[in-house]
Amino acid sequence: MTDTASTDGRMIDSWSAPDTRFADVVKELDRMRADAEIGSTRAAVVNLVVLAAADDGATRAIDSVVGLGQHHPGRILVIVPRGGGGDEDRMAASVELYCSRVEDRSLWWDVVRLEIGGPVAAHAESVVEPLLLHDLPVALWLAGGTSRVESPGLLDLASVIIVSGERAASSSPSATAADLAGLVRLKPVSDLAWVAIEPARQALARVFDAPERAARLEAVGGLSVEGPPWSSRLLAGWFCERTGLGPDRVRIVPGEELRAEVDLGADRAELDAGPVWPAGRVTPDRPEPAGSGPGVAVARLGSTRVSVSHGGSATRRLLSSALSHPWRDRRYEAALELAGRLGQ
Amino acid sequence: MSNPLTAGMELGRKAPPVALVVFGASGDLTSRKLLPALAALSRRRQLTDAFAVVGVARSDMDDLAFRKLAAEAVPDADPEWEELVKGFRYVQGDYGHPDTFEALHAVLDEVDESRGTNGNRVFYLATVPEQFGVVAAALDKHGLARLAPGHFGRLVIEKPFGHDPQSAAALDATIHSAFDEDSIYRIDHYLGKETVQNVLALRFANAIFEPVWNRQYVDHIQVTVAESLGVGHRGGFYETAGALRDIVQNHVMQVLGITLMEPPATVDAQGIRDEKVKLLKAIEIMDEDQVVTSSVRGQYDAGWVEGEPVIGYRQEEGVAPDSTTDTYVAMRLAVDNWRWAGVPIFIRTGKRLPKRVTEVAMSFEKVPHLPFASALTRDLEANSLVVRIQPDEGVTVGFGAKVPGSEFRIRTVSMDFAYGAAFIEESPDAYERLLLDAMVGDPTLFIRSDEVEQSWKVVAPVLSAWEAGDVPVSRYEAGSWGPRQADRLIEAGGRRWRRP
Repeated sequence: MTDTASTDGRMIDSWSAPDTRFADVVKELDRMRADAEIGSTRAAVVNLVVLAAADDGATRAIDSVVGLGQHHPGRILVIVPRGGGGDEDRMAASVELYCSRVEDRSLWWDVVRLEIGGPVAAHAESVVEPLLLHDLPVALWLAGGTSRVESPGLLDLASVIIVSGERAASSSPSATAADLAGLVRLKPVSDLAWVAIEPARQALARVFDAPERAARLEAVGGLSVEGPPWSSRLLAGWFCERTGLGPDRVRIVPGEELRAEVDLGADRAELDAGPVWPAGRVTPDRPEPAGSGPGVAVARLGSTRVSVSHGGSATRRLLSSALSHPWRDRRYEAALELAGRLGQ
Repeated sequence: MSNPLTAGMELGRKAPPVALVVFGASGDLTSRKLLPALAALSRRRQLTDAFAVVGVARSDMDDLAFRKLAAEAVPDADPEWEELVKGFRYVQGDYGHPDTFEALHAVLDEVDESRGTNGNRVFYLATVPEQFGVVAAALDKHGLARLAPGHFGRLVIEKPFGHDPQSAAALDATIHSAFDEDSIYRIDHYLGKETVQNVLALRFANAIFEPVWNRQYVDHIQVTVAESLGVGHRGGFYETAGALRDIVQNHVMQVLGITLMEPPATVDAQGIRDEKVKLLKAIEIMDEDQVVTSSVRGQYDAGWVEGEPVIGYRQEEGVAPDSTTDTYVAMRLAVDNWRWAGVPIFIRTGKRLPKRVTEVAMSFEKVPHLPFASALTRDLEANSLVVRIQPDEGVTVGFGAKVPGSEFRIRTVSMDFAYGAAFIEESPDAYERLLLDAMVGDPTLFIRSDEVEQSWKVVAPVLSAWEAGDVPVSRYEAGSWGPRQADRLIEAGGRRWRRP
């Protein structure tokens, strides 16, 4: 099925087939780019490969990534595992070509969705690698979870692995920590939860900026963090690693918004970062709930108040930020190591 | 006298009056490549009315059937092609039988009369290589090879040019007994690709590249010729060839020649081919020990390619179950000349690799000193220049750029020139370009005898050592980038293969 419409800054061409072959997908991609006469203004910066979950996660993932092309033009490949039902060996595919105007330039990107099942699901790299745009980094977003990547070859392709640690940790933070530690050994990992708590970390850090307050970090007595399970552990892990506070002095309390109290003996520092992670409340009909929009993280110590505003915790924004920083983050890795041991 | 009315007009090159005689006219190459290329030349008005194709083959066909074949080979042809095809002729016969060539002689005389082809002939041998010598000798015997002054007779042949140095020399001797070297056009279709020709433009029409095109700035070079296809129904042929003969001896050597040669005095046939030969002569001939340490031969096992399960080479039709034929080659070459001394040249080619891609990648030396915090340059790679020959023809330059933000973090970015995006003009197919060159008489993009000879000299010791069993066949899974031994070959020097 081919559907062509001409609109500025949106999808300009699309194609889909319920049962197709790899060669047809390539043919359609070539056709669309040729028909669209993508000229010398072409720019591409990244291949984003999304390994989605079989359930509604695929739709959610695509919703999150489609608009990313405006800021990170290139190719977005969404791999959706196909469930049972006797048609596992078929490959369903869709291709969408998008164009966006930025000042007087056109930016182009395409979104390829491949629904694969049966044995090919274990060899997804065999369809992904030939579709990658050459000489561009490959960001692999494990949107469907971090516990098991059915096609390990995909990990080899990745320049950076993006994970949604908060989503993965909703059942078992310690198992998630172990999974992520395994991934970190392979490639740089960018955790959306880590991106989401960046304003909180900044606010808490800056409240100790003055030398006399920084000195008080040597006498921290304890830390209490309330919030989503993974974000709170990452924040605590980072704080412990930076200050030398023992994990046994940390208390983790479940909550929807991220808050923290640092015990400084006679005094305490407080952090109120608000909702940092909407994903736990995502439903198919409400993919990005309230709280995803712009927010502010506030830290207080005595009369000192530091606020760090941010663009919100919508998955798309977090992904965009993760794609802008596709390198190994030693601070995250250190926080991750401790996060798995907290609150057990 | 030239036509004064066309002066200043960009009409492009046109074929002179000529009859193109295609041996193997009923074969796959003719239908798949030659006829569509001719139709494209016709569409671009680069063929005149004084043009005809005479097909020769063993298949039982007449003129009408051949014209039908020619029409069907180009389903979306324009009226010019349909008109042209009406003048096509066909000669049925055995290449070893004199009657075939007597009939051909008679048909060519008729064509000269009816189409005005003026006694000029280009003989294209789209046959199995075993017939090259037979046909050339028969053409000579029947007075079709060496023509009277004012007329030309050219012979076009396609690889393989021999199976080893000895058979290549024997083939050369046979062909030279019928045609002068100036009239022999050895096709390597890679040379017809725009991107390969663009290497000349890139190097010699720009001031910024040539100064760094040497050992002082280049750390190493990688040439990749990767195919996702297996041998398919060509297993029988492939068993006698292998990747070293099929790809390295010709395509890879030609690409290396163009990329690494010295600047020619003039960009013409002699200038370019002289420099290519000089470069090929500078490639170090390996001894047995070097073959062991500097070459990897591989063969694919079953695996997954483009979402499909594929069988291993030994399970392919026409392949021996214990075959040791190479479907993958990786080598480290050295070029012993002033420009490239000490720069390792890594080449790899293989079937059933993850994707079809051909490229030449130059990796430059790192800067002597990075005046930035090491943590902020961790992701910075050495500069690179990649010439992509197929698909997505173009050039990519990789360099470091500051990541926007308050930190001075630097990472590698790429600047991309894509042929398809930069030019509106449709690039001619390689066969289109080369067929026209052969008819016009421009041998620049064809391989000269001494190039073939020198390429075999580079490859022969490797073949000998392999055949003696000095280098075992390494297995690799279809859909992978080759055997682990190939990684070790490049990693020994602290480098790694690109993932094109």
